[in-house]
Amino acid sequence: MTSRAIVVTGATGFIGTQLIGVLSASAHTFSLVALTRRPSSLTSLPTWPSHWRAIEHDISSDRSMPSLPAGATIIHLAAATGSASRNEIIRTNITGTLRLIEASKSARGGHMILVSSIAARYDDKRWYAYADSKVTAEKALVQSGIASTIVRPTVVMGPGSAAEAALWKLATSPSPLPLVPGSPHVRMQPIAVRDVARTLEHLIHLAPTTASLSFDLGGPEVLELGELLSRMREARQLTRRNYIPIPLTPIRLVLAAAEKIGLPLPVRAGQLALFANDSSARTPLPPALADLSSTFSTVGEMIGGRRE
Amino acid sequence: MTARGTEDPRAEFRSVARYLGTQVVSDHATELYAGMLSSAGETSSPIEKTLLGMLGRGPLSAALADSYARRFFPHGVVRRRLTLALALLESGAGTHSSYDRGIGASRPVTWAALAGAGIVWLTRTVAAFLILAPVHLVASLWPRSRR
Repeated sequence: MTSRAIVVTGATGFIGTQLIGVLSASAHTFSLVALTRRPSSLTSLPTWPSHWRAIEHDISSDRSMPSLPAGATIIHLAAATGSASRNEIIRTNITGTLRLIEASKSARGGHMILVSSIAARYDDKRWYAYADSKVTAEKALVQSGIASTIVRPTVVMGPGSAAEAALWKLATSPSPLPLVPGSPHVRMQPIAVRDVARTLEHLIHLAPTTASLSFDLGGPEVLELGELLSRMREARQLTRRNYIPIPLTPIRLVLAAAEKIGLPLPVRAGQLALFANDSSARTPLPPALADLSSTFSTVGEMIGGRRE
Repeated sequence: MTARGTEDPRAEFRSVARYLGTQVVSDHATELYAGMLSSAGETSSPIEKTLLGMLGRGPLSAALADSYARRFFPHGVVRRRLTLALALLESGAGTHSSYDRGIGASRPVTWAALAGAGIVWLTRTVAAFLILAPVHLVASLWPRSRR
């Protein structure tokens, strides 16, 4: 057993679950502390090693942060996503990150890997509190002076992916009119959630050599939305379609106004930013990840045979 | 997941009553509405949840929700709640008179009033469509939230 310590937030989430699975394969080489709202859902996993600890803690709560192991590598995944309320997003993604940064400073010599989002790079972030919160969290981490790495996954695909569910719904819509919000020419670079988890595992091993690094993390292919939807249809033996764009701005305006007065909405204005922005990686991967990226799943492998 | 709609059925009743033409409602009628709300049913439709949310946010908002529901969910939970509210107001001791009363005016005035009502109805229908159709469209393209 080694003295190396890893702290994970958001371990029960979409990417966190995959990361825990990947890390458990080499569990004997480090100790791990998961800060989670639901420790039992981790400790009851058959792959959860007995020397790992799951501590009940909600980073958005006012409760004081548990002290972190000295020199720990912190992987910060916990986040409120686009469907959450603005207050919840600010509390979790900004205040929670600030608290974690302070805790990391106390655990001297640590390194934080912040899993941000490609949304932080969107040109059009109107009404998208999630994207704004990720930008703020990134800035706070950079300005904190602690050793850090920032990773911005693009459109993450896999079981439980909200973006993938939305894409499948669009692709397989039985509507006679093949409508897409925004433009079918908007670019996307899907990446499999397992590849994100494997990348994070690599970064843990590379830390602290990756300090001050920040990069976008996408899969091997950049596709236009229309082409991605067509490939999804083909994966289900459906014919390709020529998509008709629906203007996004009026829809987002109405949703934003309705959100302002507190109406329950099926989708938030910010979530539609996916269809208004280029979601492909704009920075190259660090050379240390080049070998790993050559093994990333293709779009065909991500969508092949998957069902909603 | 189903929705019971507004968090405060009493506020919803007051809002709906104002839309239906009654400014002041009795506590008794309000409590009856709150107690009988479950009889109007529930919905799992995201757009109907939005319309339900609009019922409790003032007479204009309720009017838009009604105009849209009339076209797209004529037998839905929104219309059933409005029917329940109207039934209570029409049969309430303090409120029934405004619904039972006839129009005491000359024929031209009556026609003018009807024309005015038609214009209001048309304006409301168009406004409801412009505001809610985009939300409805996106709701139909977006997967239901699991939150």
